[in-house]
Amino acid sequence: MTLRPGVLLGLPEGVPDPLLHLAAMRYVLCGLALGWALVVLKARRAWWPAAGALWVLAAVGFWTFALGRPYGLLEDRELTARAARIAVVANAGGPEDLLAGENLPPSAWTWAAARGVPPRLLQSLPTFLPLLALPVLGLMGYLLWGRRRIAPLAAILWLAFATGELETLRGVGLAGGLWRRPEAALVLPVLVAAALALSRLRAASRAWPLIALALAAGAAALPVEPPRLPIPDILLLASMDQGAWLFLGAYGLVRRGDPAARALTAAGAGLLVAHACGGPIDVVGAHALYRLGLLLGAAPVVADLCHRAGAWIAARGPRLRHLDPSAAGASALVALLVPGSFLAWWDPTKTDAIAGASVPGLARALYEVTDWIRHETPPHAVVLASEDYAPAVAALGGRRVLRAPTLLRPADEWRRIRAQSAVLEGRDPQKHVARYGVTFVLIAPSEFAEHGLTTPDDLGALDRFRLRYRHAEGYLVYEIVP
Amino acid sequence: MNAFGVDVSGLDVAAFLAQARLLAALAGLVWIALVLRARRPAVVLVGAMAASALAWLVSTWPLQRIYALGPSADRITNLAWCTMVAAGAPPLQTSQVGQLHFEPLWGLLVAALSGFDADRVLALYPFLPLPMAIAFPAALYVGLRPAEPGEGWSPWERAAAALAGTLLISAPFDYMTTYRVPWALMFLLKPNHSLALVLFPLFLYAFVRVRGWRSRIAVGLFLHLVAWTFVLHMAYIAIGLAVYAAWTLVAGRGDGRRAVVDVATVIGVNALIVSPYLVMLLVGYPFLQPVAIQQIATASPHLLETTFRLGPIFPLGVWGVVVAHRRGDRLGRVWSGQVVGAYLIWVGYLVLSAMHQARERDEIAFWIRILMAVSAAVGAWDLAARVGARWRGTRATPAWRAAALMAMALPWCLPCWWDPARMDVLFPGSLPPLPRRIVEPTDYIRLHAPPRAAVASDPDYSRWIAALGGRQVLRDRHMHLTADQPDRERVLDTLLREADGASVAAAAARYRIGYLVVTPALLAMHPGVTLEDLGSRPHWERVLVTGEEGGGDPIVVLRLAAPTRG
Repeated sequence: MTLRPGVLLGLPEGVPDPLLHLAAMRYVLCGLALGWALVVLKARRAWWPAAGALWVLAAVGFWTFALGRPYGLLEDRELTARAARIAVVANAGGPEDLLAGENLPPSAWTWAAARGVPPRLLQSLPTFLPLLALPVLGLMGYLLWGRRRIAPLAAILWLAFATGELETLRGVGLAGGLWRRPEAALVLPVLVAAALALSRLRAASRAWPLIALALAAGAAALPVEPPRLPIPDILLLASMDQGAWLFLGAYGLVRRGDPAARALTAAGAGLLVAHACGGPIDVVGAHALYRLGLLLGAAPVVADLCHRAGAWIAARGPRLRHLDPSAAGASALVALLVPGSFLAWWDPTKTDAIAGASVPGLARALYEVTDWIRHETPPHAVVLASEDYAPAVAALGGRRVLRAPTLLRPADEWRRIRAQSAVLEGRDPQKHVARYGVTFVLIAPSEFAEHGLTTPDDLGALDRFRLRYRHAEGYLVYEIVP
Repeated sequence: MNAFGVDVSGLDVAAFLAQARLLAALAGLVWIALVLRARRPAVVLVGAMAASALAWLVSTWPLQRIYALGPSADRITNLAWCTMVAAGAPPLQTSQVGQLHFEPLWGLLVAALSGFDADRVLALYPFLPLPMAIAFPAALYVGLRPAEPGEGWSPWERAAAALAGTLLISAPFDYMTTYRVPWALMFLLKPNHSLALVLFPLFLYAFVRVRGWRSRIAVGLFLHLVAWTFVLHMAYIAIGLAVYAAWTLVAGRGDGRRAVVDVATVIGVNALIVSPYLVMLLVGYPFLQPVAIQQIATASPHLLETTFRLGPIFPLGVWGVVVAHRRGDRLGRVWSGQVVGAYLIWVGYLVLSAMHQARERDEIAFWIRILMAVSAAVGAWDLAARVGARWRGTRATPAWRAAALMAMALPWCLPCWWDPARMDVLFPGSLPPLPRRIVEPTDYIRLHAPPRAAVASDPDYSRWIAALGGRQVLRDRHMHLTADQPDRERVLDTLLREADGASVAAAAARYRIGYLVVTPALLAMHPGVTLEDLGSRPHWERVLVTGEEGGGDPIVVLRLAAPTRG
């Protein structure tokens, strides 16, 4: 089974294709947005966020399923190392890292893998989390916000405008940023839900700064990822990049202060300031809270404007007179602004180099070779592979490797290089078997020529190398026998 | 050195651009404050012009060559049209000797501005987008003045239109889309097209004031001036006028007959003058040959590209068109006709695409962007007035409304997010200076070749000879094929292979060829021809040899000597 996200839905390879199906997807999103507007106009308010969540699912889902592999796998160092550790802990067990002889750093991912959560699920989950997190945020805005009358409109704002062009240009967009921040994708909805729930308490109107403080503390614990923005960028991010939401949100926060909106905005703003001052704060999480707070603050103002617009629409003719002005205004908002909103036109393969690199799937041969390694080698086996294939051996084959310089460079790297030379040149491999436990060698065509190997078969001429696997595309796996 | 003569080779371009964006944001806040303080629409207009100038400056300052000269074949061709005419080539011909020109006014205008001095054209050229970028908002402000008092189109509204029509026609993620960034492609890359844009509002100004036959004919002549500048803009305007006339007639307005007569006369006068030339172009250029590449791009949702793709500009623009049309004045109805006409053309591209004839899609896409941005300003100004009217008190003055709209629009104004290093594929390639292998031979040609002499070379290098050397060439690969292409190939072959000087001179005379620039590509395209062979022929005089950087094959300039029997 491959790790292509589309497999989950049974989609054939190349479907959806980010080039061939892109225009159709844009039309579908436009149609869904207009359908969402119709739901807002005609259906009960509970359906407003539901229709919006469907739209977000379609917008983000297209790109999620267009990826040919989990986001960043074998393209990004950090993400590949995480996937490799998950696979190694789940398949090989033991306390060592993906490199034999190194200590495993603690992480929730390897903790879960050690406790039996399927490794492929853990490896794929970060790719799917934005798909879930963004709609969940909108739904929670509807379910948990204290201002029940306008909560459906707030949900619309969160679903459609939580991520925008200008901050994405600055590298802080929520939609694209969550792919490399699975922890944030899991924690942010929880933090926001807690803030919304706490803000419903009677004391919240005075105690909202405490809620903001708790929220900020929770968000500050999220792992820090690039980018790190300088002070001018943070200033522009907090002001210009918010566009109209800055004015509408600020007006709403000042004139119709809501504890949840204030807590979210204050927490986000505080974290942005801390980031600007050099604090270890993830700017995407901080900005997300700030934007959500502004949108929540803007919701009463937007509701007023929608009501006025709806009343104007309803007064246009006798057939429109029966329309609920608020619903008509909100429907117009969705119909006019959502088809042109950022998510409708987002193309992560062009804004995010890692997303672009994750569109091609992994070669079938790579899956077959690493499947063999996972099934046919003992769990404690340590594989020597080139720097091109070592990450795949760990991440897909679930076996530790001697070296993976594209992922990790341990303190004894020089010793590992010598060990690699000694093994491949047939100079007392037992010594290195003893030190690092190297028992298998994966070799592909044209590899290790610097060790005198003109073809992979040359390794078989050395003592104690037994050929165990030959792939039609030239990959060989040797076992080092005593 | 950049265009200002400053050494920018050590400039940190990324930091420069980041600081420029910060400066633009701060300047924007000052601008809004000035609007509130001065309470004059002229401040909005001047600010829009200054912002457009700033975007040009930011895009031009770091460059050590003319913008896009090299990365864009269009730019080299465009420069060639100017330097050649300045050097003395006929203005009605393109860079290929003998080929009829389709946009002759631009070259003549730039040549005249430079005093018919090709060197001065090269110094002047980087600055040409600046007057266009400044003149367009000014032209919008002037051109949208109502013909009669009390017809709407207040100075504040026109200033907002000027701002939107210049600074809001592009969006931050345009660079990833099919049609890329309109501002950069219209103003930076094609100042000749933007000159036609400048003429467009002035044309509207004149058209809505047509009274009687004399002014009809004068406006027809004006339209024909647009055609000489950029023929497509003339076509868009003419279609928009036809929509206006038809709409007025169908709506049963009292002035329907007048509208039809005005439009028919203006288009008729224009067509009368231009049509012989258009016929020649149709005969001379393979415009109507279907080409598979002339289809709408697979990834482009055509009907959404000029509608919802524009974000809030689209609904505001639609509202603006409604507002303008409902005013009932002639300008409003002509404007709405232009917008509807442009969209009709856009829809028509679906048919053209099926016929493999969907050429110049970007031009109509940009045209619609500009029309809709201006319309959005009209719509936004109307909505601001409505909201302001509900705001009890004295603060809803036009200055406050303008300031509020500007504050909303400021983050989306071009200079606040413009990062050409990232968003303009032509910018990075424009940073380094031109290589010696291009500069030295073309300098020699420009300084030494007789003004009417043409040059033969490989079809790719020839464009540089035309652009920087200021001389027409036998064959430019980036221009349309001429009908006598096989003859030109034969002439080139004769120049390269024929040992008889008289035969070479006779072949060269047909296209006025006086120089042969031998490049490695030219030799590769003509196997068996060597520099040694050419050098040994008395009719070719070796006048310049430029070594390739890194010790590659040289580029050699040969001058055709007086014919001799060899």
